[in-house]
Amino acid sequence: MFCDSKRLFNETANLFGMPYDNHEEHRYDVTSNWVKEKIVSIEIEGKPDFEVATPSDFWPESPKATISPEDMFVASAVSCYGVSLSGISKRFHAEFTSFKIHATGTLQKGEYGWEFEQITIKPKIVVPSEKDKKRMIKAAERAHRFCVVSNSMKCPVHLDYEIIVE
Amino acid sequence: MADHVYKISTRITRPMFIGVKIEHNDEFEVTSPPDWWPDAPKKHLSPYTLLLAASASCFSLSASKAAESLHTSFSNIEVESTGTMSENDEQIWSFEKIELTVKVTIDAASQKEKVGRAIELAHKTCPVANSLNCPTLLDYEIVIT
Repeated sequence: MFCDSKRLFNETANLFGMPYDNHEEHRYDVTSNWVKEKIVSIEIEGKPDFEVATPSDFWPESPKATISPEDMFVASAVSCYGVSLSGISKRFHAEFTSFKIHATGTLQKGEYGWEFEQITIKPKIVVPSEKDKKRMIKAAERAHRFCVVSNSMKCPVHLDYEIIVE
Repeated sequence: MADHVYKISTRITRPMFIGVKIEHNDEFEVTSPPDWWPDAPKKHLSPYTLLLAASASCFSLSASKAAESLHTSFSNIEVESTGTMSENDEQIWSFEKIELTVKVTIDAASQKEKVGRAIELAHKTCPVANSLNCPTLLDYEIVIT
């Protein structure tokens, strides 16, 4: 299978900022502090603080310009896919003119309350030639397979890509 | 009550940078973290820190809701979320665990037991933790001021 060796994957990772096998520990720290009812802050070292609120589907008065944990959960999956695609397409020599990705996540009632039922990631990738399209199909699928965030999710993460030659 | 559907759009803004657009919010850029990309700008969020931010904030907000349902309250809650990745035999990386270190501040000692139950309930009901493959480990203390 194309690019299935560990060596090749590690090369890709090394070049484009994706996970690779260097036996280092990869830990990330985030702090959340109470702001007021239904609103908390997020503080990450070296980055601007921001606020997070209960989403409007659970709290109609939720401030519209404040993101929710549910928004961030879906955003983490789709941005992980985007970053992976950006790196892997380069490794596969698949050129693109642009790409946009829409993602939708839905909640369902689970055993202990609400949980994500699924996330659907829909990339629309514009490429300059048929040759790039062929390569991009492989890159699009590979980016999905190696996405750290969706691989950490219990809910299914569906990929429904469209590649347009223009 | 509205459907529980969350829609996010992203686009590539420049090589290795993804613009994330959430309805009613300004677009912000996300990129790989410095441990995977040494040249990564330090001020940018990564997909991984977004996931941890989702986890930490979900827990805090779930704790507040749980406290309300148990007719109690706290004056402050601070959550530190630490995520650790590991690689499986097929060279697939994923989060191995997320650890939440929680400090809850209350005004009255009489509320300690109820607030403890609220924290345990939040741990069980947080939608983000319930949607992850990896365990979310909770370590909390309740401080009376």
